[in-house]
Amino acid sequence: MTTQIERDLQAMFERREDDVVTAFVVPDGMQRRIRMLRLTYATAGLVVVGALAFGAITLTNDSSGAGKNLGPADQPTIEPQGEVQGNAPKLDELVGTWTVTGEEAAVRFSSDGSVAFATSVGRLGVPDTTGRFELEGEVVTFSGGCLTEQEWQTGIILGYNPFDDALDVLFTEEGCGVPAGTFWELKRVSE
Amino acid sequence: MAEAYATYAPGATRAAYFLVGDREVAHDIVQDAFVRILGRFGSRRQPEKFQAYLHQTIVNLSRNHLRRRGLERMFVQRGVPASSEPDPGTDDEMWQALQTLPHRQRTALVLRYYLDMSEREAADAMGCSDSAVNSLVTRGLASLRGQLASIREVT
Repeated sequence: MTTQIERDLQAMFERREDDVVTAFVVPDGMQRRIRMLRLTYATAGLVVVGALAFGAITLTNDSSGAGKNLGPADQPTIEPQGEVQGNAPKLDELVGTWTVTGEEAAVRFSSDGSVAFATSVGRLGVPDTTGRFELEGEVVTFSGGCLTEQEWQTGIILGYNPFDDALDVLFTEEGCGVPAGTFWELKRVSE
Repeated sequence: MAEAYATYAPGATRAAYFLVGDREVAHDIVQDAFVRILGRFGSRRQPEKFQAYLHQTIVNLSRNHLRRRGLERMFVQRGVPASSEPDPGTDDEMWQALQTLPHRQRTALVLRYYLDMSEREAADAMGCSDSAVNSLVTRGLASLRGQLASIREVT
């Protein structure tokens, strides 16, 4: 049953609709901005491929941990390649297997707190890197794996979009061969 | 893109206007939302969810805008929109009362009573639970009653 205040509110919305005049044509410059954004994502994809290749080579050549990844001072810092959209994921939203859009990479977050990375979903059984993760709000922290018993990524912001079941990932600190500023869009492939 | 814009932009712009209280900002927010959604390859995989995703993006961008500018605090303190050009709603008691509400309450009311969303749909757009939306709506309506009473007492 609708109350008076609800009716008054709806009436106000109807009164004020004409305050905004909207053209039905796409504004000038919007298509150019969209093209630029797509180009940005494509560029980010190339950066990620390079980063993953670098990380894989480092892991392959340094399974003993004798030669570490480049330190922060040695690694190039790049501007964020994308903007995280969506909400901080809950643990049950994060758990599952994801692929990185446009890349040969897959990630599996398990409910026991373990995480695995591989170049494809099929290779997650024998992952390139494994470790632990902790989710606190929109920030996830990894440990183990790349640098044993060390946190190798602390600055990773997540944004979950339930409509696409997609996860935006922005690396705000470098580590394990992934440069700061790297942006991934993850797509869930299974729970 | 032209078809999507013609279909969804008018309603989305009005919703953004009710959220931020400024026509120019509302236009900018909706354009930004379209650029973000259409600029992302992944978001085009499920076109049937375009409108829901558009609403969620507008809610997020409106919230970011108000946070960035500190407008919400100004609304609470002054009770008027901070716009370079006065908006036509300043003589509308209900409009004024709506603009004084905290952003989440205002968002819940706009989603429920302007966009006619269910509690579930509004919760998805706001990234919270159904019960949180219910609570925000209840508190928002109560605040509106109080604000209207205050405005009418003054006048």
